Parts: sequence; C-alpha cells; structure tokens
Amino acid sequence: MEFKDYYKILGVPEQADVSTIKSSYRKLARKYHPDVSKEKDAEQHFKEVGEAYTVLKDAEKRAEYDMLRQQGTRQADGGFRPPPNWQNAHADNGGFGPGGSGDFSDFFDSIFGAQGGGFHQAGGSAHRSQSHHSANHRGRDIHHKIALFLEEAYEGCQRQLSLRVSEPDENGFIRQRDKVLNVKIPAGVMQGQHIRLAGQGEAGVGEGKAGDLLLEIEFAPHPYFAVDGKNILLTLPISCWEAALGTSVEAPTISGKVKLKVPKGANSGNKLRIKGKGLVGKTGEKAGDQIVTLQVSLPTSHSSEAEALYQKLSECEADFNPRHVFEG
Amino acid sequence: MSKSEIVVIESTLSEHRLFTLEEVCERCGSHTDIIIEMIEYGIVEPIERPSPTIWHFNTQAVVRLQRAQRLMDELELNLSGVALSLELLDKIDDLQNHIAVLKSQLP
Repeated sequence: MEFKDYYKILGVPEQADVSTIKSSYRKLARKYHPDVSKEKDAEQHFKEVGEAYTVLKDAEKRAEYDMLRQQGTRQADGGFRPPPNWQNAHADNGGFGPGGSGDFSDFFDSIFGAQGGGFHQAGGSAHRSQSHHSANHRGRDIHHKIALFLEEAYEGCQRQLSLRVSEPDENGFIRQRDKVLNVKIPAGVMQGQHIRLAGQGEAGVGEGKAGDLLLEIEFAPHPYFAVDGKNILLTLPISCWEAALGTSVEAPTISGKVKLKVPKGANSGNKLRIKGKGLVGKTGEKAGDQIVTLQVSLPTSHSSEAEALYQKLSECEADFNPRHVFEG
Repeated sequence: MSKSEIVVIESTLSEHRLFTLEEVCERCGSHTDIIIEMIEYGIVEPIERPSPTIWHFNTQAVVRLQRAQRLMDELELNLSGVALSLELLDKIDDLQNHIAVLKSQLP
C-alpha cells in the first residue's frame, strides 16, 4: 500500500497548527476543485487534499496518523505496511451507503476503517440534504468530458468509454467497478453541449433510481478548421498572382471539398462565406457557415526570371504605397 | 472489483429532456429554497413553460446548478460568490476559445 504523507500533500510542516492546515487546505481546494481547475489530475488532487485535511484537522485522527507515521514500516519498494494488528481496531466500520469511503484511499481506509469522513459526506455533491441512512434515494449523476474530432461531432460517432463507478453490493458495501460503455453520439453535437445517458450514473439506494451519466462535449483541436459558435473558420492560403487575377480553388469543408471562387483583386484578410457549411446546432435552427479567410502566400525563393518580373511589376505599380497609413 | 461489461447505449441530446423543480432538487441534492435563490442570483434561467408559474430546466441548467451546489459545499462559497465564480469561469472559457480561434488564423 502506498503511504500518504498528508503533511506533504497539504504543504505544511509536521508541527503546523490547525489554522495553518486550514488555510493551506482552503487554498489547495480552490486550486484543484474539479469545477474550477483545468488541470488533468485536478480531481485526484482535490480528493487527496480533502483526505489529508480530514485527518489533520481532527486532533484524534491526527494523533493516530502521527503515531502510525512513526511506527509503520516503509518497504523497500516505497510501499508502506502498518504495524501488526493496526487494522483490527477499526475494521468493523462498514462503508455503508453512498458517498461512503469510496472517495478515500485504501491507505485511509486501513487506518480509520472504511467509515468515510465528514468531509466527503458533506461535500458529496448529490447527497447533501439527504439523510445518510434513508432507505431510498437516487444515485449520483456522473460527469465526464469527452473530446471529439470535429468530423465525429458533425457526423455522429460511436465511442467507447471506461469509467469507474462506486456501487453498493448486496451487503450495502461500496464497491468500485470498472464499466465499459459503447456510446452512440448523435450527429451535430456542439462544444460544451451535454449528452445524457439515463440511468448510467451511480446506482440508487433501495428503490431509488440510478443517476445519469452526463457527457460534456469538447472539440479536439483540428489541423486546419477552427470553430466559433456554429461557424467553422478556415484560413485559405493563395498565391499573390491568384489574389491579383482571381481564381477558382478547391477548399475543404466539414462535409467535403467545394469549389470556391476567389475574386479578382483579393487580399490577405478578405473573408469569404460559404453558406450552410458550418455546424448544424439545435434541430430547427439554421446551420452555421464556413468563413474562409484568405492569406496571400509567397514562395520562399524566386527564380531570376521571376525576380525580373517582380522588378517590372514594381515599376508598373510605382504609385502603390502599402505603408500609406504611417504617413500623415 | 467485478468484471467489466460492454453495453451499447444510444445517447440523447440534452435539449430533449426537461426537468421539473423537484427533479432538479433531487439531482442537485439541494433544498428548493436554495435552487430558487440560485435562480434569483441569475445562475440559471428556468424555462417558463407551459406557464410562467411552472418552471422547467434543461440538462445544461441542471449541470450548472449541480456545479453551483458543489462549489457552495466544497469551497464554502456563498451564493454571490458562486454566481461570480461561474461568470468568471464562463468568461475564461470564452476567452480561451477566442484565443484558439485567433491562433488558428495566424499564418
């Protein structure tokens, strides 16, 4: 079992007083709160910090932990073994009911029994106002983010998700279980939208229904498209002679290639709109557009023949001053 | 830990299901008064259908209210703190999205 250094987790010295512990906890809780932080392991950190605080804020638990910290043996692999008979004194507390010890580490359970702690009971989002021992209540909703490529969101797709769920077994003990779901995602989902898998959240207690699984859609970065609301943005490079003379080019859209007419005398930054080639959005609403921004692109080196042509061009266009804005 | 299982599920778009105030309270683990206060603080807007006295909420709103309740419980914020945090977090999301759009336009 991995030893948890609660002092290190909270970033406080061993002799820290309760107010130092509390203020450090509050700071870290804000930093790692999964609803605030964008960090990948935020939830894990947040739980660890909460567990450390549950132990260190409580004089009795802290004393017990300190003793164990001194007496327990560290194994060669960095693991930790509590002194003999340590577990026996506490193992009679079953983790009963939802929001029980499922959120705490095995290390915590081995010291304090699977009794859960005040922190996560109070913090367990879905059960705040419900009596812990009430016979029936609805299981918690589970929240997840799911990253889709733009094409997958547009066309719909099937995705496999693995999640770990805590469920009470037939004896009422909380057990963790890995669950694999194949989810069919409908076409036309948008960034930030939620899709709901009814009954796929945590199991209810008694006659209570299971919670839902809520998936928040995120778009993975695309190599050349960007998304702004329902519009899809594309930067389209063209050569300076294509810009000057006008041309017809092939441009990618989310639903395949289209012919796009670049008008004569086009310039960098000019925008062209391809109607209806954006994202569809809600049913019954008008689809977005694809907005193409032109960008004049030049070869990195020129042949001497081309240079001569440029020289000629500079003479023909002698009146053109691209920096006229700097002149009063 | 038991063996894993594989199920194929059809998901539904959030707009297709509306929740009543009671359902929202159950899903957030919140008291009705708190949810009403959250609405007064502008954290979400209920859909006033079929009449202004009957409220319904879409999934987006439920998710936001759950988030608000978690922030209240776990960071000990009061309602105006929660409302402010959510607004600022939204603003950060918008700005980050905007940066991504601008970055994609750079040569």
